[in-house]
Amino acid sequence: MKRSKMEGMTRTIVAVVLAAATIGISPSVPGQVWNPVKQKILAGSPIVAKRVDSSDPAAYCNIATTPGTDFTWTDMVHSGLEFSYVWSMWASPCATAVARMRGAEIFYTKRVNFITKAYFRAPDPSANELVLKEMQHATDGGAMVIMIQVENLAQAQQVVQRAYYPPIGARDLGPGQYDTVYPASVTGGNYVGTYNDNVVVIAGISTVAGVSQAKAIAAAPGIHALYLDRTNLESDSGYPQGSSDYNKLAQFVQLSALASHKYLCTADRTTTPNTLTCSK
Amino acid sequence: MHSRTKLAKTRLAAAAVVTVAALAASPWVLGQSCPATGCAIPGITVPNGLTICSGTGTNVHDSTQFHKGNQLCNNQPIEPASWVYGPEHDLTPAQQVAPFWNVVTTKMAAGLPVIGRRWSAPDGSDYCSVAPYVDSGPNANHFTWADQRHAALDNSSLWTYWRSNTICPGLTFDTTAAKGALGSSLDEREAQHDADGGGIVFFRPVNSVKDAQEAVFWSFWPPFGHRSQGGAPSNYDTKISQIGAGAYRDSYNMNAVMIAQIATVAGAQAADGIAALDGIDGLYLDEQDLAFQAAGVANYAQLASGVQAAAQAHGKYLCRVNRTANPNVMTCLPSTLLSAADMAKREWPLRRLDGNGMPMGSTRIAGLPRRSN
Repeated sequence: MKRSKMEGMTRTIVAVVLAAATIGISPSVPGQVWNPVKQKILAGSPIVAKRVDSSDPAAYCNIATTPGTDFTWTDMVHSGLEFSYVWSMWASPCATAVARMRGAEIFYTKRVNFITKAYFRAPDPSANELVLKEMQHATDGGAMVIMIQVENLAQAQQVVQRAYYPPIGARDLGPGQYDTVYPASVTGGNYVGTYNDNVVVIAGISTVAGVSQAKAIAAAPGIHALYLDRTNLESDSGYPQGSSDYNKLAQFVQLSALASHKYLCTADRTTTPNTLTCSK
Repeated sequence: MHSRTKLAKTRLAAAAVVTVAALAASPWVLGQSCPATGCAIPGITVPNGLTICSGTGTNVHDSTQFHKGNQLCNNQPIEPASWVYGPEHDLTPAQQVAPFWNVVTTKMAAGLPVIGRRWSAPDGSDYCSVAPYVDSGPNANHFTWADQRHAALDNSSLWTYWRSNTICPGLTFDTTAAKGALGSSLDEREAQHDADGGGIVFFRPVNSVKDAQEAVFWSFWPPFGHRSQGGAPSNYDTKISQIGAGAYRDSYNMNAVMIAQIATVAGAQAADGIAALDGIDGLYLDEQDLAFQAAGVANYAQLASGVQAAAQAHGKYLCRVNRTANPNVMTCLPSTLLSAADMAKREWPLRRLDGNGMPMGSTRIAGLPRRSN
């Protein structure tokens, strides 16, 4: 069993190397971290992001230019944004940007067994299927920070599976605009080969079900941070922020991140644009 | 009398405990998938019917018993199955009796017909031609329906027109028909975007009870559904404030209307179960598509009459579209089973799940207080 697993893994690695060679790229070079957000995570420094909810390139550039911003957080969930507009916005030149990394908050948007996932632990992860399109469009468009709500370990593992290239995950290799959004001057001409070392995945916790599984989610390899979605946790639990019941939930999320030495993110919804802050 | 009520409550609580225990051990819980006929046990994130704080016996929704700011209700370990949903989005007594801010809900609660018109231009350029509200007469128009299924409309266009009360020259909130959308899917993305954009009347294609549950699940707020909070439209706020209703987050579940589109043989065969769900306010009998789908496979006339009978039996609306009209006109009529007197004292669904975890049954006659969720 172990042997066949090893063989399978070897085959995958060989396939990736061959595929990479075919399209003229180098395989993963560990240590090439060009994403400033990932650099900060490695250094243990705080991270700040600003929310984008319209496809106006000028507004986007304005947000990306805000001092102290590490990445732009394009909200695909609570906006009318479609990827066609977002890709165009992400590709528009913004010479003065300080936040050069694009981040996307995307839907898990699975369709099957929506009922089982929340209440009970589904033993078969395939019963909860992350729709491929969301992650593929976000990453191919240039997202280097992925934010996504999850409620259990199986979902977190699927997110990792979709977010990373092999051998860690199974992100599909194909044409996108990532090479133009992140030119050779940024990536050393090896976006694909260095992507796995640079992508940052933030798991959102917004429900009681998600909180109950937060420890396992935080511990999942490939997850860099938990996002404590305070607004939705309030909505889902029925208790206002600051109340005893809410605090019980929030503290559990904080402790879960802490236990796995992962970042914890929270959003300030009173600012315009909304600000996401992540720290260890 | 008092002790009898208490006894009934105790029995109910005991039944709930037994149910939860039984569910915890059932094979379905252990991973079997939800059958196409629908799930007969709880599953949606929070609405487990629990209202009493563990250990204290306090009713969390009674502000005289529970103070949400400084009292802890959930002493038990964090688990969705045992989490007692809190009072944050409950309505005050005044808000409970405030008028609806969705004119379609107002009419449906009164048992009146509702009529709407289709718009479909990819850039939304035909929206303003169908947007004016007309209360009665041959041009009656209570809602508009954006056809996301058979047109290239996407949310970028919908949001442009939906999120403003004044985008159509001369129209205001009160003179604009309610915003509706005929969706093309049941997934979270479309439901979330439609609702966040400002839609308040939803039509979703369903082929089974499970589909209908999913449509409800993504379109309503917790604890009845799973709509995510973060991008609510503000164009209802002025009206809400004017009529003294609960805030958008709190009163949305009572105002949103969900119509199940029945366009397939499977959907028609499941119509009775679909119509029985509380989150479903009506069935849209898509005659054109159902006839097309049934050709050579099933008896269309039987299927169509089955859909009508299902709506009738559960006191739900039945919608049909006149495809010869330009733009297409949808007319939704109430079940004739309820008398005018019944309609007058009808309580609008609570948008909660019942003790078995199913969306509450169909029409409710007065007797229960109205609540937000």
